[in-house]
Amino acid sequence: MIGARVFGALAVVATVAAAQLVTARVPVVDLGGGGPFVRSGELGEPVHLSYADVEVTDVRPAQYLGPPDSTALARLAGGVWVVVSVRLSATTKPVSIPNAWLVDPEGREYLTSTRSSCATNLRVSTGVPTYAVFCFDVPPDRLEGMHFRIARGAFETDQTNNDDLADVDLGVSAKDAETWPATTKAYRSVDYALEPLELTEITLTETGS
Amino acid sequence: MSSWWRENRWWLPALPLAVAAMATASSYLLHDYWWIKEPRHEISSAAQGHYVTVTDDYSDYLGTLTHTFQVRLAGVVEVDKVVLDSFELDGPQPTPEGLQSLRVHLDWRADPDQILRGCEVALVDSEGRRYEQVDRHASDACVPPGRGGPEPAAVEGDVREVPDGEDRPPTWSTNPQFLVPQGVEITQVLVWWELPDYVRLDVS
Amino acid sequence: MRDFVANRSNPQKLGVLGALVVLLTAPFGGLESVADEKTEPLRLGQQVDIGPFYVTLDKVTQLSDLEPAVSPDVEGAKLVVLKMEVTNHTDRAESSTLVRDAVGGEHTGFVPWATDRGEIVPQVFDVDDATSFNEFINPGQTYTLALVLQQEPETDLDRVTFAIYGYFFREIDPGTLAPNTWVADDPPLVAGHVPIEVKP
Repeated sequence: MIGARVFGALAVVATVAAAQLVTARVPVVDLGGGGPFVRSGELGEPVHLSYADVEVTDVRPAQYLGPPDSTALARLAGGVWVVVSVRLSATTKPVSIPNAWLVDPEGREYLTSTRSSCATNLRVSTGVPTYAVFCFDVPPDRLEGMHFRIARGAFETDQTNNDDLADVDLGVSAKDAETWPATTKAYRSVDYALEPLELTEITLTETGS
Repeated sequence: MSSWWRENRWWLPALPLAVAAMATASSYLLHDYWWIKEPRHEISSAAQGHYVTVTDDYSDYLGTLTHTFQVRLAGVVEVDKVVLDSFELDGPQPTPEGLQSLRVHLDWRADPDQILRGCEVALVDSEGRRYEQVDRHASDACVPPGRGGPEPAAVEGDVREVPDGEDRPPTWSTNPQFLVPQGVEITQVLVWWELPDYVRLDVS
Repeated sequence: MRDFVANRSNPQKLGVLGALVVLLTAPFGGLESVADEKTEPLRLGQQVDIGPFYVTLDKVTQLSDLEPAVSPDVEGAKLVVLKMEVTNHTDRAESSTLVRDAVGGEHTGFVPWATDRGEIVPQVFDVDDATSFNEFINPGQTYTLALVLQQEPETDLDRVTFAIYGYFFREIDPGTLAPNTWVADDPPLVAGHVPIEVKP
């Protein structure tokens, strides 16, 4: 009967439309993700992940970072350079770390700077410490309460879910947030190595521009 | 009830087959994201001091290639100095505190036309932890430096051939170096070209 | 009800069916009005929201050389520098290439850089330290950037117009399922002629 067919077709369309309304308007619990397993720590304290041990050994501000080629121009921070020194080692087998990032108290995420010539991705060996320095260009009004995060999954593509992630409170106080933007320190950029990395101060010479 | 059984007499035995087919079809992710990510498939093994003959497949840009060779673990020896990065020109440094520097002595035999470049060598300790070379710029662990023999085809347009002057002798030795924590006991040396296949050499 | 429907003529039934189908597009956005898109005039010093960034075109300059930072790689070409202030006003880091690719123009006389294989792409520099700039700009961060292009020397600068395009945010690409991308929008947000300062 034509009437029944038409009614059936309209019923299907109406159901799909109703389903679209539901998924578009009603907040859906994200069951697929699961979120990372956050292991928290503080500056100077080792954080144990299932695949690596992580310790943030130092954090300091800088105004300029000089690339490894000392004839090249130094990079001026748009805000403040936040320079984070980390010691890592893998627990049972070597692991690749794609990047590290910062999170502010509002949950906004800050990426490392490529022009800083500091570390981005690195390979961490089993039982043997790797020393790395990560550099971030952070707006001067976002410094207080910053946390440092690192994991073996890439966070920009949600690959940190269902895996351990280290979250370290960098201990940036309200006073630091006031004094750090005024820093005039300049350091030579370093990447990562199997020996402890020193941050050496550099003196900048003006070049004609 | 018996008519239901009669109606479904072909479908019921087909059901487990269908479920198995479904599971297999969906398991390609397991292969691509788990099976081939680690050394899981031992293809050959030998005790220290004994040669083992290995025939192994791996792939390059042009497809699958098979190579046959013999390898022997001569020994794992602790040394005083370590090269952390071959690109740094300051040569071997004293081993950092709390760590030990080990050299793995491997003896090889293979026809000079066998493609053997690009291997990985790793150490496994008594706890099952795996150690790879820390020097990211170390020379190839399985072929002699400067005389590595034929190269696989890496990119489009490549040919599998021996670069000028790099013919490989029929026998040679390599001694890749590793940095491991003090106090670990190395029990195995693993050699692989393409995971999950690997060769196990036991340390005695 | 069935009798009532059965007694309507066929065009009437089709009409109701048609109306029903249109109404059913409602949850899919079928009844939303098309956004009014109009290009405003481009003005120096005016802040434009291109989506991920606030962008302000401060100044446009033409000169012969910007060494040691950058020099023309085409014999006799001039350099045109667009000095822009860029602020990431979102809560996520965003790529500076979105700013680089947001600028267009007409009658510009622009000539591609040798390495760009025929495409006209500005080189981007951080004005405050004269270094090349291709970065993810962190949320809340501001930079003064210089977009540098090569230009045919005989170009009539009075005819040159610039345009700044915006982006709309796509949470999930229906084709590739790629999350969180900015997609270039059309027509430009602002366009028009601005004075170009000529330096030797």
